[in-house]
Amino acid sequence: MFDLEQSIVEWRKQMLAAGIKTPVPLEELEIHLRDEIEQKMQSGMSGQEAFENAALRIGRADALKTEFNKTGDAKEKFEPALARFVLYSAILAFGWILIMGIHAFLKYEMSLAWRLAGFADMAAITLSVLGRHWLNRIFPVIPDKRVRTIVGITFGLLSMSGMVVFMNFILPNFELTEGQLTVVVLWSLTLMAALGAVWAGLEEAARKQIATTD
Amino acid sequence: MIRKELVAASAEPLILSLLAQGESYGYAIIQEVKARSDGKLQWTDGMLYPVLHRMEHRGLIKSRWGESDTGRKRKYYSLKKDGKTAMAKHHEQWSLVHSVLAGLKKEQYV
Repeated sequence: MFDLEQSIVEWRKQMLAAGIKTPVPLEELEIHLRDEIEQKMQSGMSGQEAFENAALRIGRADALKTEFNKTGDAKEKFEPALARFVLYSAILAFGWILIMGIHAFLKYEMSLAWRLAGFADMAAITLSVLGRHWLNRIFPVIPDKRVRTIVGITFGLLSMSGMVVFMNFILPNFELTEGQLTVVVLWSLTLMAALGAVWAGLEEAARKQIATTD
Repeated sequence: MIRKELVAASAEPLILSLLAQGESYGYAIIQEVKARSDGKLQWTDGMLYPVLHRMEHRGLIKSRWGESDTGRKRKYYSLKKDGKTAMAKHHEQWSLVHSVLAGLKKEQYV
């Protein structure tokens, strides 16, 4: 005697054995299988016929597994881990600058002009973080990943070396109060973080282009 | 029946165009394509899901779990902004191919 539920359990086992282990695809496939069986039974097929027909239409487990694996590859292709790391580091840096700025404004005395300069920096940081997706549109699309990486690393190195030069050779030449020094450091950190974020921007621009044309 | 290669190439533009009309789920997408093509455009049912998942990873579509009227769990897909852009590009490219083919066919009868 044919048992539909048992047959579906066996089908699930076959899928699992073939390597479709992620709960979401298997659940989705099973829902599809049940929909198809229901539809076929309504049109007059027996339970067994409907099941066999529906399982055949879903396809072979190994072929499905191969196709689902390509999804993972695609993710790696579009979201290079290093570029994301740089992006999150830049966001963290921006957050740290904001906290440092607020702390400095509460602690140090400074003129209105310097205070406004500091607020302008914090406003620029906030706007650039919140409008990150909009800002990404200004980056050109560089299809060659190698070129993108080289440009990104160059900007990253430029950012780091710029910071070292500024802190060690430029800043000591000026006599600034603690408040003024904080504002100058905030602006320099912001510019350096923005340079560092160029790589992430280039990757995002390329990702969008590839995603809509691939 | 339409060739396998053409079926595969048309999957993404068809899915995007169907989702542009409103959110839908895998089984309904397949049925809709089948009905609109009089059964001539048939996918291996299971193969639709890897395509949907890839499109979701690429940020073209998004999904949410919901329930049908009968209480069955369903994963509904809908179009994202990048998906609309991709759909417009597909339409442009397929229209170009169609117009070239139509032009060539017309010339054969002149």
